Amino acid sequence: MEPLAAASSLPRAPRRCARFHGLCRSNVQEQTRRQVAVLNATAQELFSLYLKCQGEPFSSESDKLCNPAGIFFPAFRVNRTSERKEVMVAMYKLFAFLNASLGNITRDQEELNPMAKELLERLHNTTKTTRGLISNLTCLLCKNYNIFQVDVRYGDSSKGKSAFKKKQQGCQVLRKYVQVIGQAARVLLPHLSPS
Amino acid sequence: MFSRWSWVACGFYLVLNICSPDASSGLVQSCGHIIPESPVLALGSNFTALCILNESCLDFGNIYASQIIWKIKNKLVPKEQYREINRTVSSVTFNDTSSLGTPLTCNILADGQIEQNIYGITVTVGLAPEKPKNLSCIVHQVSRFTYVMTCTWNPGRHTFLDTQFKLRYSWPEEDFPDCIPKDVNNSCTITDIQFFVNTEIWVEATNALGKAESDRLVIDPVDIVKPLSPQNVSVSSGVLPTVLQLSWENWISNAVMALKFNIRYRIAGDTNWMEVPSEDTASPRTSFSVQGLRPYTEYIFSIRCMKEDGQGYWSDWSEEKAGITTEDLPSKGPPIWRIIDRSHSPASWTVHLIWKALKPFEANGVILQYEVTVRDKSSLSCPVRKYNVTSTNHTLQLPEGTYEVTLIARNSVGASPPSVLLIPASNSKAPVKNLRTLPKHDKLWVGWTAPNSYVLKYVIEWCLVSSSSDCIMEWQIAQGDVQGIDLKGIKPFKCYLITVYPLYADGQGSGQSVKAYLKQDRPSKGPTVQTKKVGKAEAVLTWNHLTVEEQNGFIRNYTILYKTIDGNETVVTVDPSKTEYTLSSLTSDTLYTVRMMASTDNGSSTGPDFTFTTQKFGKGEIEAIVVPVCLAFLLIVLLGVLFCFNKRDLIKKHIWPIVPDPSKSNIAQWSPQVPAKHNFNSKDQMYPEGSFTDVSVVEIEADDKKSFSEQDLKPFDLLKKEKSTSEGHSSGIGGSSCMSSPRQSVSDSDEGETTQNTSSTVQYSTVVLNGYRDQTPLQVFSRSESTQPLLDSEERSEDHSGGADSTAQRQQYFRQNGGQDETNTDRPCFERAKQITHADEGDLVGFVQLQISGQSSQPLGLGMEKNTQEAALSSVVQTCTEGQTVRPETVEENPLSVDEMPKSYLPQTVRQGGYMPQ
Repeated sequence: MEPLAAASSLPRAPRRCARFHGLCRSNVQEQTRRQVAVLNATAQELFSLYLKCQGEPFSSESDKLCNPAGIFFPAFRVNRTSERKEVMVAMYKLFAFLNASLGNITRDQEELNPMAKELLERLHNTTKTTRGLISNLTCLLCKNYNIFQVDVRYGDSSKGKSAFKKKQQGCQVLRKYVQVIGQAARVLLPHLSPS
Repeated sequence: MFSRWSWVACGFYLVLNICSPDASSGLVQSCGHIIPESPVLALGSNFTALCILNESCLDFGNIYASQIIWKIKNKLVPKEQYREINRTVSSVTFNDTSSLGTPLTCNILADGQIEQNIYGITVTVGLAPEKPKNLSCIVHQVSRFTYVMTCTWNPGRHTFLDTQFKLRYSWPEEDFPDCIPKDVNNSCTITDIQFFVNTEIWVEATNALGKAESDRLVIDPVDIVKPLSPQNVSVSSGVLPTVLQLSWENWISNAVMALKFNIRYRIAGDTNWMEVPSEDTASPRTSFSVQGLRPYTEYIFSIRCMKEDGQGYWSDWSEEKAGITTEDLPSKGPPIWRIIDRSHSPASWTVHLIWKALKPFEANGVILQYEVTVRDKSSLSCPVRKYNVTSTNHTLQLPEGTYEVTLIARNSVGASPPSVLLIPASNSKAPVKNLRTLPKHDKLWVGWTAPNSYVLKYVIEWCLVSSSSDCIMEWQIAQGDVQGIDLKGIKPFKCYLITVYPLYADGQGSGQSVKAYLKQDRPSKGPTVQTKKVGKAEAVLTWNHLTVEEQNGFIRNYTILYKTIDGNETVVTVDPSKTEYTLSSLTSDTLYTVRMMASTDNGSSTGPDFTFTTQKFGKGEIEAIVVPVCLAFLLIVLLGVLFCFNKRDLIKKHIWPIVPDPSKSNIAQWSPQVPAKHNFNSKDQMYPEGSFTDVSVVEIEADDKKSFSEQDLKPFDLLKKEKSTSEGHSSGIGGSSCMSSPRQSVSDSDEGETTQNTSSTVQYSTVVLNGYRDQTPLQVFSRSESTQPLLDSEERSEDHSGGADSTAQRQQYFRQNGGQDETNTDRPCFERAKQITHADEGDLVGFVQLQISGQSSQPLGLGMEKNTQEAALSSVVQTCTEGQTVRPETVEENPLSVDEMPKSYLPQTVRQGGYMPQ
């Protein structure tokens, strides 16, 4: 078994591959691609809706307020020519981060915009999708590369921050998410297409 | 002493222990318990329970395991199932728990006979859950982003126990909360599902006897989705008249699920759906162009979708949306036919052209007008006539001939192909053969055999036959290559007249007709029968045919049913064309009940009962009896008359014996003079009209007319002259009433001839006074053969009448049926009495004597008692001599003058209107 990185408190990291027997089927690769495609298809709408629901100044000053330069976001330095295994690991790290961040954003929005049903619904669905994506990536890593543990890093917690900061942090994450998910979809396409 | 107290203490302790409701927690400890405590047992398994007695009870109660008895409810368990393990433990064994009940109790027989309960347990018998089978799941799309998954399974047999079912699902790295069914045990709905992850789903069933799991289902929920049907479906017409464009929205993005579609459509008003080929809509889309449609036709569309790869379920059909294609040219000309009316003039026709509006799929739009062109085929020089018509008929006045009629329908796009109808001068071509009909469900098939010549088309006319209205004709055109069509809109139980005409290229065949029913029923009523003529042994029955509305089918026959009151019914079947039938061999003078039944192929109906009675005698029988009887009677009468005629002398002798001639009496000498003396001027005064209603004259021939003296006949001649005066006056010879006088005792003038025949010798007379109207008749009989000289006054009267006419050959004796009552009788008397007062005393005396003499004969005629008679006589006399009170005494002083009349006759029999000789 090959540990990819030191794992520290990684609740979603694959620890044992034995559990995947029976569930890690051949369709997981396609399922993963479809999941990335769904996220890619819905990311922009999610971001736009998020901005709309935060009100001013986020609606008009999104470029400035939502600039993700100052936040942590997992590096996704893979391309279509990268090794498949490397791509899988990078994606695992990315979606593990996104899952946690979307969970935080959802929690903050439930507090800040409890009446924004559609936004909350989209946040829930996106979060659920990333959960499923992580499950599938875990399956693929275990099944194909026998990797059951990946070191991932999460973003800063928004707990205790001001509403504006919460909104801004969510805005920054989502904007970066929109950018990265498109790249991931493009990168993943040749690797996950049926061979 | 100790022993007694010991037993009392032990009993008290035992009761306390046994009666303790809760041995463990109560104040008093139980004497024993059962193992196991409240067991749950599998149905059909064996079971052993132990009842363990406490040692304390052994010491104080002297109870041992050998005293234990087991009970199920209140039923003792057979002791064969007991086993005494030791002195404190008894067991009971059940080989099959199905025989168990609850509670199961352990009891002892205290003191050998008192049963006391030690302990009881509740036994639950059931089954372990079976493995749930047939687990299946479906994901329903609830909204754009919301899906729920409902799984169903077969829970297996009933366990008789509280069994929990849980639907469980998990991912490799993550377990989810169980789904617990509510109110059911075979389905559960999960609201938190995620696509594109293989999810393991299974069902766990758990109860006290065990747990069972279904097979595990590993599915990606996206593969079992039943999506929402497409929304916002719209239909728009395209440029082409055969194309409609559909567009819609999907609830699921392509990123989540690629969809394929089914599109179905139908013509508005039609129930049959058509479907776009599935391969044309097997890819994700939000619009589709449906082609091959009919122009100017409204179509209804509906769409459904499912996952493109075919996994999952079809959505429901979307809501229906309608669209209309654009117009196109009419595809064919309207069917045309004609009705020719030759009634006005054979040489001039009234031609009613009729045509059917094109069906929508033929019209391809709104028909704006029809163009009718009529060409005279027999005269090429005649101009072609054209008419633009907006209705579906047109009437022309045409001279007899052959015409070609062309019809074109026109809509906004253009004109239809022409329809051509040839109207020949005569329908001289061959007709169809073997015309027949056959009902087919709700249609009536009409078939025929084609003529030998080539037929272009057939025209089928039909109409509903009605007794109350004209046959409203419908028609239809069939192509020449068919030999039968189905007529639609035919009503059951109605009679239709169907006619088929073959149309040739150069003429028309004559029509062949047939009557038909789509469906027959029994007649709605039966014929009403009645008799036309009833004889002694036969009756002619008549009835009217049922109307065609009442027949409901072809009348196959009529049935006459007739019977007497107590006889058997006789049945006669009659041809349906008949309306009359003669029943023969009937019994005379018998009441018959007859009714009539009309029958079709599908049943019969009976009309009302009609009763008649045959005659007692046949025709001519009465005449045969009456005529001979009458003839015989007449013959007898005739013979009787002849006999009487021959024997008239003999009869006369017996009936009218010779009566002595009163003319020889002295009284005849004064009678004629009385009228002159008393100066009766007119009969109106003396004898009011109607005083006498009947006067019978008895004629007595005198043997010798000349034997009567002239004087004897004078009074009668005088009376004849004054017949009007004496009319209706009652009198008897010698005066039988107070008003009687010889002169007045002459008959009515109407019998003047008889008067002339009156015998000169009057021997007998009868005066019968019939009652006037309803009054009691006064009959007076008087007979006299007296030759006694009349009173002087009478004689003097005769002297006064000496100049009277004496030409009468006969004397008349009167029988009067008078209606005078006492008043009538008295009145003339009174008047006359007053006249008498002007006469001399001698006359008066004579008159009084006459009255007495006359009255002497009345008692028998009136039928009175003597005293009554006397009173009446007295009254009469007194009335007649009113104001002369001496008159009654005069009567009383000369009673012998009446009795001493030697030869007077009294009638022996009095009969109204008749008399009897003495």
